[in-house]
Amino acid sequence: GWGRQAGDDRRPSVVRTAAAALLALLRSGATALTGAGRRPRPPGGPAARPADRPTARSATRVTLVLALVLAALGFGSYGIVSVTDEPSSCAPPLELRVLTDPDLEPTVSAAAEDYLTSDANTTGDGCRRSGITVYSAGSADAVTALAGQSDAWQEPRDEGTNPQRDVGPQPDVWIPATGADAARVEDAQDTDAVARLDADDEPLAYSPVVLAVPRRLAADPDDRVEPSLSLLITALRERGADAEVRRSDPEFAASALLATVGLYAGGADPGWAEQKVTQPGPPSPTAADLLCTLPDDDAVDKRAAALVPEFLLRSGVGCDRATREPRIAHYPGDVPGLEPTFVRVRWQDADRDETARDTAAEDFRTWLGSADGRAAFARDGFRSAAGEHTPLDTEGPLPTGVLWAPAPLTETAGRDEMDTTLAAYRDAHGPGRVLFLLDSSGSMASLWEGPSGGPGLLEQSLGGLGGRDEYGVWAVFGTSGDKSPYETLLHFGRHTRKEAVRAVDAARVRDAEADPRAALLAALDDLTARGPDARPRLVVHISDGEDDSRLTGANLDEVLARARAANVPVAMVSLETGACDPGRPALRISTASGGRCLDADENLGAGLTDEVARTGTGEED
Amino acid sequence: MTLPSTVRRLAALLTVLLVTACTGSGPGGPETPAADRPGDIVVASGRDVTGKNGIRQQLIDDWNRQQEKAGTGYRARLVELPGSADEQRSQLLGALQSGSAAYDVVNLDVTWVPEFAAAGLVRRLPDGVLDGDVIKSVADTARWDDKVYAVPFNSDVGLLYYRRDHLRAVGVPQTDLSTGVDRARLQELIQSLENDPPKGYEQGWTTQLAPYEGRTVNAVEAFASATPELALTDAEGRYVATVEQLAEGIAELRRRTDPPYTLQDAVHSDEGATLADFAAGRTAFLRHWPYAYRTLHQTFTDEQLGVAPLPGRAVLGGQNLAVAAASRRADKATELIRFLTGKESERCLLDAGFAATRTSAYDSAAVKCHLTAAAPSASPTGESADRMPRDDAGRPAYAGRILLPALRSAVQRPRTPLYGAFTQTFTAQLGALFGDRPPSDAELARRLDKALRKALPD
Repeated sequence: GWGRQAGDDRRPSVVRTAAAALLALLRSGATALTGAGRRPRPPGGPAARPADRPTARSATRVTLVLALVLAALGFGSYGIVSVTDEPSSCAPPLELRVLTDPDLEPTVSAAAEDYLTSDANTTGDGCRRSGITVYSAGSADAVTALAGQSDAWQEPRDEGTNPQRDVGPQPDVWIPATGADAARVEDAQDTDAVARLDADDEPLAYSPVVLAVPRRLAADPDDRVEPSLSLLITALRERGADAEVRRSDPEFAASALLATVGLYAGGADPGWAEQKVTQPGPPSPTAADLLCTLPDDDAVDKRAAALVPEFLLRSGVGCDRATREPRIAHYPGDVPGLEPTFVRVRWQDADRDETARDTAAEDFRTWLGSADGRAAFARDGFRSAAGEHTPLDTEGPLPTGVLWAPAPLTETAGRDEMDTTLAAYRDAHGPGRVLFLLDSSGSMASLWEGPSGGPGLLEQSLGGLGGRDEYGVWAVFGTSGDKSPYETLLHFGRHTRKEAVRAVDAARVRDAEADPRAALLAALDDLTARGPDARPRLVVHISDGEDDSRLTGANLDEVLARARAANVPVAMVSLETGACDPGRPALRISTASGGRCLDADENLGAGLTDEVARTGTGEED
Repeated sequence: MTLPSTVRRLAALLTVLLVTACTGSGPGGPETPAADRPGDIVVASGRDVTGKNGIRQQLIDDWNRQQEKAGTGYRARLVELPGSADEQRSQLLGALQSGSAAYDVVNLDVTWVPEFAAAGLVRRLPDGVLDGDVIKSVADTARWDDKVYAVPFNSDVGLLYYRRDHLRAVGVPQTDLSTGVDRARLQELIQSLENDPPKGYEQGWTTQLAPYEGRTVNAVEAFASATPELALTDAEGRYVATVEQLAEGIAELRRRTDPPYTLQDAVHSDEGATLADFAAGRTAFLRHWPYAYRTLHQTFTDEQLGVAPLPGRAVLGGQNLAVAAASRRADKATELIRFLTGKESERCLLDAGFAATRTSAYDSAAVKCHLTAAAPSASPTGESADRMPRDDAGRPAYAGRILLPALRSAVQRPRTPLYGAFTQTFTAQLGALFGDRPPSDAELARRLDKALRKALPD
């Protein structure tokens, strides 16, 4: 196999297998060549028999056959060539790509780091068997990509849909926040799917989603477990008239979607239920971010309860700010808990190292289930997946605000309830209105082409808008003052995605500077003039920050004042790095308006798509 | 280890055949009959955080136009990978090992070349792809085990950016540091600023010390400056440093990151954060890459901003293009790489703000970029917004005088097929230096030595 072929005392047998396979293929070279349209499968090592010496074949054919052997075996030159020169060093290990939920990433990363240097992952020669990279993606994006975009994930064909760029590597292992995510994918996959899931029945650990209440507003210990979230929220409001409830982004972190299941439970109208968790500005992406953001405003920190996984009351203290209001966990009976579950993902045609990859994934799975593997989950405050869900860490003191065994903890999340809750959440605010401002000044020339260019980013984000949403696109250029600071590329209204893409494709860079001040003021005026505040609205400003010099002093103050007054969030998207650093105009404008600031330090495509999707109802409508 | 003689003979035969198979044709040998079938050539490349993917896409579009005209039936297609380098490496490794995605050309960070070459994931290329025009230090990043596995696409090197206006304000007579400053002179300059700090100024300089590749880069620069000709690994990628060498390097890194001179936030900073702190005037000096030249000139004028070679040694970065071992269009993919790394393409990359890999891009009047967007020409209205200073031929003004010499004298990070384990260990161990109670140089050197021995076993 891959990870063990060099520096390992099994090498002779690898060589023998490779040699036997080669000879077998040489013998049947013609067959292999005629089947060139299909990817040849690796011949079985033990079954392959020695054959005659290759005497009568042309050099070309031998070369071609060899290339096929190499491709089929997944062997490059090293595993074989190195036999003759460097017997001792370790071969690069097999790489496992591990996708997880954003809330779980710190814990899964810590576990993977433990595993990499563990005896279980070390050969007799001190070499690593596997390498592991842990990364996370928004849970709704991960489910959508695995369910309906696995072909595009394997082979991205157009710039609009590329999970390799927007979600991340094709996972070999997926550890979602709940097994229900895997069930959602399997249910939605059609027969063309090229990613097949094999989910464990039992989760790795457990953590309930709790209402973390500031200590001065906490209920008596006997009243901290209630059958429903709405009872907990009603009681909280009775204890403090100014109390608020905050939740992170249900599209991004599964814990927020689980909380939303409780919020909409008992047939509550989603639009009405969402009122309980409204907040100025966009929601925090993860629960940990939410807990770190609350202390930014002392008053908010003292009155806001947060819907977060219980484990964060122990581990989620890595915020910049040292002091924050201690929070006490209240346990709702109708919010399903987090149940991180190991899911093996196999990709069609990924047959170069099938057995070795299966072994590597299985070794990691086995280790995660062992006491060593559970240690990272225990350190971070998770509970046992089974029985009474007692804390995994039985040695240390119970974190402040956490109950030892808050019975009854709820049942596992259901596949359907997560799907319907997400759909209801997206629909709760009704169709939205978005105005895109695309900087078309001369400096955009080098930031124009390709999927990372201004038009490419805009087109990607259109997936978040459906047939009932209304939107328009302006090209922003010109500073003359007497003329309009923009030109309409797509008139404001309902459009098909195709129609919109065609309009954006026709945009071109102008040999002129731009006046972002005038364009932003005009956009805010335009959207506010279009009627009722109740509909979600968004201005998206895409630029390279080149003309930010026009956003200083009184000019900036004017935009800030209008942005605050208009009650329309402005997403400031900058194709340069550092545009969202403290004090920069983009950050100040987006903050004043309650919108998000995105710059080239992060994945702009995914970030912008999330912002637009939050405003719109989505393409599937 | 002894092998049965038949197996050894077979292995030798395989070696010979493999070299033939991988190179297509040896130098001077006949071209292999075209085994490629026309179709898409998939180029996998990371999302470019400097926001300049435009020029890469344009070069690919240009090649496609040529193919279309010639009616070859080939078309190159750029597939963007995630922005995070760790995720790019993971996807490229996992996909090439398993076959989960089909790539023909992969864009590799220079530090990954040994790993991909040693694992047989990318093909050996004809030696001739690295001609004498490719800057030697840069060309060296494309080889492993004395064989060529990749071609440099764009390079990168650490540079020192500084505020000329601040130096002038405190009476420094010579504010042009482009001929180079040593660390002692830099500290003197910072001292004069301390005595009379400009508005908003906090500390002398900032750099990338957050626990990621940036910390490894900065540490390697300190280590290489402290011990001339230091090698942490040998030509085979085996760990060879001594505890004493590590201790010297740690002492230098400690001196460089001392609180009186270094912005405290540097310990949590990456490229974006340091750029923003410098642009906001919190420091007068900044260690950064060539792309900052274009970005910073959007904020500062020539009178305010200077760029100089980094004191001591600077680390070489950049990306190299390689052909996937499993590509079914390897010959055409190699041809595409030759185009993308050819003289004219490199000149286009330079004009767009990348560090070109060929000498001719910097000094040949005959080599020009015919793509328009690389260097927008001044407009008749005078409104054009390219503020990067350029020489008469349209190159970034500092390219020939500062960037090219910096690339030539830059040092590589350790070259090992186990680079992932190396950098993870190096970054994690050196974190102790920036903690509450940093250990002594000797103690930290002992710990680092032990950890590196485990990460890079003999």
